[in-house]
Amino acid sequence: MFVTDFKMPILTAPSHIVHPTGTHQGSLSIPTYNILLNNHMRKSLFSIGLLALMAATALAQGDPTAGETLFKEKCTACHTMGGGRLVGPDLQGVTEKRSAEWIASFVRSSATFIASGDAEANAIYQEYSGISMPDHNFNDGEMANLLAYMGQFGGTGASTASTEPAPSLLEGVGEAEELLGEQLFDGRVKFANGGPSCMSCHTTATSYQFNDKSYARNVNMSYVNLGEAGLKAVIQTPSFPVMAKAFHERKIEDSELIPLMAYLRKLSANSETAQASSGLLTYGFIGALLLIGLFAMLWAKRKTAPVSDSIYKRQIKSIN
Amino acid sequence: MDSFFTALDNFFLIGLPYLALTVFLVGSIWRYRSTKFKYSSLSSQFLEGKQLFWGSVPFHMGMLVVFLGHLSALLIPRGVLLWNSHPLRLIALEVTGFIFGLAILIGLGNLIYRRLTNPRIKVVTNNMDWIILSLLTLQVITGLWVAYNFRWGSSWFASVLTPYVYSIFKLQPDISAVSALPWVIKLHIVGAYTVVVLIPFSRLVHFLVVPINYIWRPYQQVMWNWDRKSVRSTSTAWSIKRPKNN
Repeated sequence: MFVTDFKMPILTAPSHIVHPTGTHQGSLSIPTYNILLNNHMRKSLFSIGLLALMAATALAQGDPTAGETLFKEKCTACHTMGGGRLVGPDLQGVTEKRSAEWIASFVRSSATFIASGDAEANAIYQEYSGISMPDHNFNDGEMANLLAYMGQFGGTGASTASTEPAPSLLEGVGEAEELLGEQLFDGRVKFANGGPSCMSCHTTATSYQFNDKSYARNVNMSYVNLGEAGLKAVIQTPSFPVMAKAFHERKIEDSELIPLMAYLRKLSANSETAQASSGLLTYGFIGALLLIGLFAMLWAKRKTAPVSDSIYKRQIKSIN
Repeated sequence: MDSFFTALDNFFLIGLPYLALTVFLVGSIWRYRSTKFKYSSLSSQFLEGKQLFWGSVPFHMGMLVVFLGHLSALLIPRGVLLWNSHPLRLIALEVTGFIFGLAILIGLGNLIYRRLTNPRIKVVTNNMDWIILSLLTLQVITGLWVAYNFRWGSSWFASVLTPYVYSIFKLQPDISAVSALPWVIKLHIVGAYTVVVLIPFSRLVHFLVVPINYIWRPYQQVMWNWDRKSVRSTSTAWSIKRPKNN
């Protein structure tokens, strides 16, 4: 059960406390004081405080079976419990290593947590190639279930890939697959289930760049950064919200995964850095100027003066 | 703070679209029934025509192409993805959109300058005109920003935003993907809903009564009044029914 008698410490603060701004707030009722204080709190501090508070209410034991279901649905793309690291760390024993509040803060918004300056969170962020974990807005009950499930796995997880490396999925894969992968990537070959081409959002260092700006990652080194297992998880069961939506019910097949991975392996081997390109901007401005010129030509015979203009000017001339 | 942002997302990405659609539908009908004769934009071409050309033409031409582009990604997302399946076609599409987007920006700049400086136009300018001009400027700047910084919009629109808009119309709003998009894209979406809200209450209403039949109407319409008696009779003042103009 949840802790229901948890009291927000701020509510027990005596009303004669001096406000952070230095003014005396004694005459205010307690709830009003609470709102005032919140407004004066620094954004990050407040969010961390709130997260910790939410986590604290979730400390009570949850249901490990429900947690397992949730874990399999949302976490297994990147994490294992004792199966070695994928995109993210192996989570075996994580509940012994970190507090429930810490885990909750990281899961709900790792980016906010990292930005708040938590040393351990930053270390993990750096270790995993600067890829931040997507936010998972689990409620207190779900978080408790998840913690209960993860709590079943004690000991230390494998910090690196398991000692005997799994056989490469790209055994005997050659140039034909690399080419098919490139064509799948930029859309010349369509995905069987109708998903959008990778190039819709991702950049690489190859041709057809034209514009190197994107909100999605540059995937040039993803084969090295994520490894085969991680890449497979990210491509086939993405938990990044936008990618998950784009490939919802349009899963990438195994027969498409292998060529894509082969292409990404080829890219990472080249280790060229992406060339800055702003063709969109250049051609856009040139095109806009041409378009305005076209309008001027199309409407060259437009009426630019009143019909009586010549008469008016003649009269003015005759007066002078 | 997280719950605060979730509430914002819920309001702007779920509440606002339904609010916008309702206000748009009810407002358009209400305005048509109450002030039918003013169901258009007040033309200022008689007052000033030279500057207007460099504002109105680039703006409207750009708007036509950009609007149809957004509409086709909404109505035929598969078709857009199919078109984009060759990178060169994708780039051609994106550059065309960007060019016409810039044309809108140039046109809007000229229109704003004209309204600010021309004394005759100043007289016929109301506050709603300024609201609309600012809103459209915001829309075109964020639109160009998104096109340049978060490429290739035509592809991810069709696979991420189209399902979101469909989910709104299916009354099962799903903002899981759209709420994770960068804030500039969200601002562009919210701006679009605001434009929809304002259509019935501004000069944008002409969008609903575009005189499309100008394209195939006869050059001249001649009416013969052979029957002098009926022409002069007060009981036949209106040939079909008395107009309800005001």
